[in-house]
Amino acid sequence: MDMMLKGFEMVFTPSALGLLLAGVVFGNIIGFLPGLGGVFALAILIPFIYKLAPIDAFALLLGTHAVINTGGAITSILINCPGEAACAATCFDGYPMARNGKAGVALGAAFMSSAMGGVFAAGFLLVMIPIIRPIVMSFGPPEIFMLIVLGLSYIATMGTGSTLKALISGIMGFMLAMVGFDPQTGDARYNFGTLYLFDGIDLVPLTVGLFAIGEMISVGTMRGQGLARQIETVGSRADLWEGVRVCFSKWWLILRCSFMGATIGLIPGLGGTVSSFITYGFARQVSKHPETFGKGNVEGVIAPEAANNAKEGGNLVPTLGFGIPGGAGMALLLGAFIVKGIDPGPGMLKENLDLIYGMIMILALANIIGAAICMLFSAPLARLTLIPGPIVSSMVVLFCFLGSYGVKNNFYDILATLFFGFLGYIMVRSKYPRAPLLVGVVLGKAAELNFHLSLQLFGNFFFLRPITFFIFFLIVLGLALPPFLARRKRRRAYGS
Amino acid sequence: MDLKIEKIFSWFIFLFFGFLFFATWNYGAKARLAPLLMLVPGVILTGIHLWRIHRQPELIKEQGVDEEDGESYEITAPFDQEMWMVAWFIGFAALIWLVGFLVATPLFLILYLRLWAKETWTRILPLAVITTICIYLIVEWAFKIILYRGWISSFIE
Repeated sequence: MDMMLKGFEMVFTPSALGLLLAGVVFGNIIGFLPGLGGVFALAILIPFIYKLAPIDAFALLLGTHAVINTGGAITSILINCPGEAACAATCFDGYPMARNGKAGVALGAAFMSSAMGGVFAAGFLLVMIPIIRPIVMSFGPPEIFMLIVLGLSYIATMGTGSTLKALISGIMGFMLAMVGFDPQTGDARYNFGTLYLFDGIDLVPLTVGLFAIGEMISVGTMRGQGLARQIETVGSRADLWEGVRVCFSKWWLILRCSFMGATIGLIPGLGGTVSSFITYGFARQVSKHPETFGKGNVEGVIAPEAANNAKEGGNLVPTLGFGIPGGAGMALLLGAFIVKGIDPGPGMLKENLDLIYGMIMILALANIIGAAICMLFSAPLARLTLIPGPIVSSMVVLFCFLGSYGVKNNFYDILATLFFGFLGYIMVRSKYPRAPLLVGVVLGKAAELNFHLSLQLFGNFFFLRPITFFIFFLIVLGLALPPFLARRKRRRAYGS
Repeated sequence: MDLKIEKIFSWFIFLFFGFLFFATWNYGAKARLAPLLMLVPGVILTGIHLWRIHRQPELIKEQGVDEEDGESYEITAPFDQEMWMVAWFIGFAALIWLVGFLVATPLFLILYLRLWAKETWTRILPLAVITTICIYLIVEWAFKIILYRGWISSFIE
């Protein structure tokens, strides 16, 4: 209880609140710019957290990440183009509402349901932390090692992409983590005589390059056109408030969809897109007017928006509790923990419990502030989508280079950013997912350390310990099941 | 085109893993254990993927990238245009190395936005000037970070 109060208190300082506000504004802007997402936003912010206190750094990062989907609703409703893939389900009814002159109602409902979903997410996390803490505290190096492998395998196997390519990408990341001094023996590995690689690969140029520069290569080609072509009018303030009022009358739907979103978020690898589409389908099933879905039913806006934001709470449970990133955004957040010298997972639950409670408060506040900002400034914010692509790309690249350089005042970091940017671009072109690579880099060193500790403490058969073996079983199941199901689906389709 | 890029990239990864596999044997037994445990499946999986690309290209084409958190984005621009973008970014880095941030920033913005984006001077000039001033004020003056001055500055000093 003391830790909880201490954590909440940490947030209510001028610096943390100021950075939270800055993060929320930035997150809202990135959220509604089509093609730019939460991972991109976090990637370009990471260089700026070096000199900040941990709570200030996470106020900025989590504040940004928590409201990405709130801002994403603006473009889904006004231009039928989701700012985030997770907001795609909002287009189905949001855009028809805008075409029917009810854009304000749709926006008001989207902002309010997002805020309610986000606050629910914070409450969900608050309940889950005391439940998982005793479990996590009993874990030793073998269990932690297996958890890391589980995290890598889950990220690799979830979703619709190729499991094989995701695993290759994860191994690439793991090998990048091996660059530099080996903590066990002091051997300098894979530096090939280069002084720059002696300390290993820095996370900042890697994340900035991989997720920001790669995107900018595409955005920069949009010559003579904005990120969006045309926008519908927002509507009056009264319409926005009408949307808010609708949310309070549909509180039971919001509660159920938020719970579904948070529960889906618990499973690493399942993103906001899954939660929003599932809850959209659910809202249609339980609606009194399912025939109006797709033609402008406000319930079709409320359900996915609440689930989108609630998902973050669920996502944070494996990230904070077990050190397993719930998705690409959470992998970046794990990277940020390492940048700040915090050991994510069991170590964090032991030593930084107050910070975790602070993050819960940040999550709740960010969602409320984010919705309020969108309510007040949705019309001028929407016009930012008309900025030409090359202007956006030139500014972002400049800030990426500045951010990477500023960490160590080393020009080689700019070259590393450029290299990883090109790698990220080629990976997208070749349909190799980038998230497993990042997860490999973030968790690689910890995996190696715990692997050696397990061998020393429990011998070669450390994985036969009960919990370790159970996690090992989950890994095998997670890796074997998706290809098996896909093959069966293909055979059935072929048979019919 | 994308399949060709995927094929080249996969071969690159395969050869890179192979190279690392041999390089790893130079390290001590403890230091090479974890990398080898990763590299062996890495080489095998990349080999399988390459085999599939050559034997079942239709199946590979169907498999889309799946980046969580909605980070997946479709590349629709022609490859040559994107290579131009890469060239612009490399040029910007080269310019920073040559003349430093404070000169390279306005130069890059003017050249890139005029020659590539065909923006108007009324938009380019204020943007270049304001951005450079903001960078100086925020990074050097407020954060006290000395920006890279460039290779040429060593001769001037």
